[in-house]
Amino acid sequence: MNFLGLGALCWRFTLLSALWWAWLGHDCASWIVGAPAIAVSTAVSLSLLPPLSIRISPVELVSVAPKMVWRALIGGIDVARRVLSPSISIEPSMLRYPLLSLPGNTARWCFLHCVSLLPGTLSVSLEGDEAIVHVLANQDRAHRELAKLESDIASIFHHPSRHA
Amino acid sequence: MNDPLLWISAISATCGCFFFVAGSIGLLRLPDIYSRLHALTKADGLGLGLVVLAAMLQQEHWIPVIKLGMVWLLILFTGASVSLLTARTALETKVPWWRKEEA
Repeated sequence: MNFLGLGALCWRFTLLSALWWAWLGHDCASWIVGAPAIAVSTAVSLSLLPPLSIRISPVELVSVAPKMVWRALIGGIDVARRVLSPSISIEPSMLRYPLLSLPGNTARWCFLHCVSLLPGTLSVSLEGDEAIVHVLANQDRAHRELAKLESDIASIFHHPSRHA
Repeated sequence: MNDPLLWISAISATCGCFFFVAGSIGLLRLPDIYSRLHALTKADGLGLGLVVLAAMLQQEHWIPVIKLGMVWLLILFTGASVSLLTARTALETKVPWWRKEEA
């Protein structure tokens, strides 16, 4: 196993162990089940998603995280306001958004996961280089939000966005 | 001394419950699978975040705080994944999306 593979193995093993610890770590007996489960999960993870050569910038991650929390807050308030108004104010549409500045699959899937937390947008699928996004209302605003998110994700994955 | 923290915690938990209720109302009132997923991922994710924040503020040690944070991140991630898979399956099986003019 090369250095890259060993690094990925250590990271994923540590992450899965941390998750088990978070739920059941206080109970020592739980590790009888936990340790094999973590080993199998690490193996499955490596076979489904081979080690990646991309680098994630921790500095950018820390600077983007509060923005994401803020957007998720606005997103939640927006959807709550819409469903609680007497006449539900939605005008749904499907949008195709080209992911030009996110060449890697990991960056794209990361983008799709974050899209559903933004106000008014829900990721539906990835077809070729285009993300298919369901928009609850207001396509223009959705476009602006997606462009901002795209440049943020691109900065984390060390690919400067063309939209930025 | 702990009183202000407890107050913030109580307010946060109450707001969190409000968003859970809003998410459930959205599930009932919205017209199709795609718009329902909007309500579930966003409102419930935010509701859980606020409830987790409330629980964090009541901890006396930092370890449970980290554990709660990890639980929140994991649920956010799985919520987004499940929502994406549900929506993608709906699109692949050609479930139509609701349009305004049909109302």
